[in-house]
Amino acid sequence: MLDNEASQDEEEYLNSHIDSCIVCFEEYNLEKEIRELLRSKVNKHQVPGELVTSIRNKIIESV
Amino acid sequence: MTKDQETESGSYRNKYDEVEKVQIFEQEFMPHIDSMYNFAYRLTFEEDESKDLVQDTYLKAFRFINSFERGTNAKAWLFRILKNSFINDFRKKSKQPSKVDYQEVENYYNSDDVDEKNTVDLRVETLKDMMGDEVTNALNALAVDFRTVIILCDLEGFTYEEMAKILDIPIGTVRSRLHRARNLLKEKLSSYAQSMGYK
Repeated sequence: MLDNEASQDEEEYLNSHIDSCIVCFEEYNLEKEIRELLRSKVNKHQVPGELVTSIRNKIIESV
Repeated sequence: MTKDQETESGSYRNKYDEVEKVQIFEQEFMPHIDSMYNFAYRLTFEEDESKDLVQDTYLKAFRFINSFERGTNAKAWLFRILKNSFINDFRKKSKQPSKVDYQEVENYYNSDDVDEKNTVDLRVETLKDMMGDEVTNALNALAVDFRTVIILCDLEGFTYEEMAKILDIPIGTVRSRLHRARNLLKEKLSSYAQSMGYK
């Protein structure tokens, strides 16, 4: 469901289950939060400018 | 014979002319270089290796550009090449966990499926306080196969079907590997939280 891979029926069932089951409600929220955490906080690296230049140069040389 | 007919007959040799090749390269491949570099970095943990891996991937992509269908998912196509290059050329050089290690981990978690939920005590509030380095370290501590599915799904937003193609594994394996990867990540985050005194 979190990955948008559940069918509509599955989604409806899971949603109604989560509303009434505290264990799954907490589990779902935890997984959602971990996803958010990964997207917002995992360190991102900037592509070195010289890499982009080097790739373009090699492509131009080869054509 | 038109270009389309050539494609249908299975001959890719002259599908795109030189101008088209460079156009595809610039318009469909280069926009993904940020994601590609970060994927490489998260696999190798090294700047120089990441640069080599990304460059290799782009040069291969250009060399085999005739097997790329315009308008299809270039990002998934490039990720697949990078992942294969990593396994074939880079992993050999480094001391990454072998298939055997991975199998052990997978078997262990297979047998433990029922109880594993209870072993992790992690709260949403705790997660909110975590710093980028802690989250990054937890992700990096996962074995490469588990780390990869998290990167592809949670960071890059690939669908299960795309992941199956990138990794050359069935969708069912994508699901189970992702499930285990998430549980392992929860454990790492939980032990980080404990060691940092968050609880």
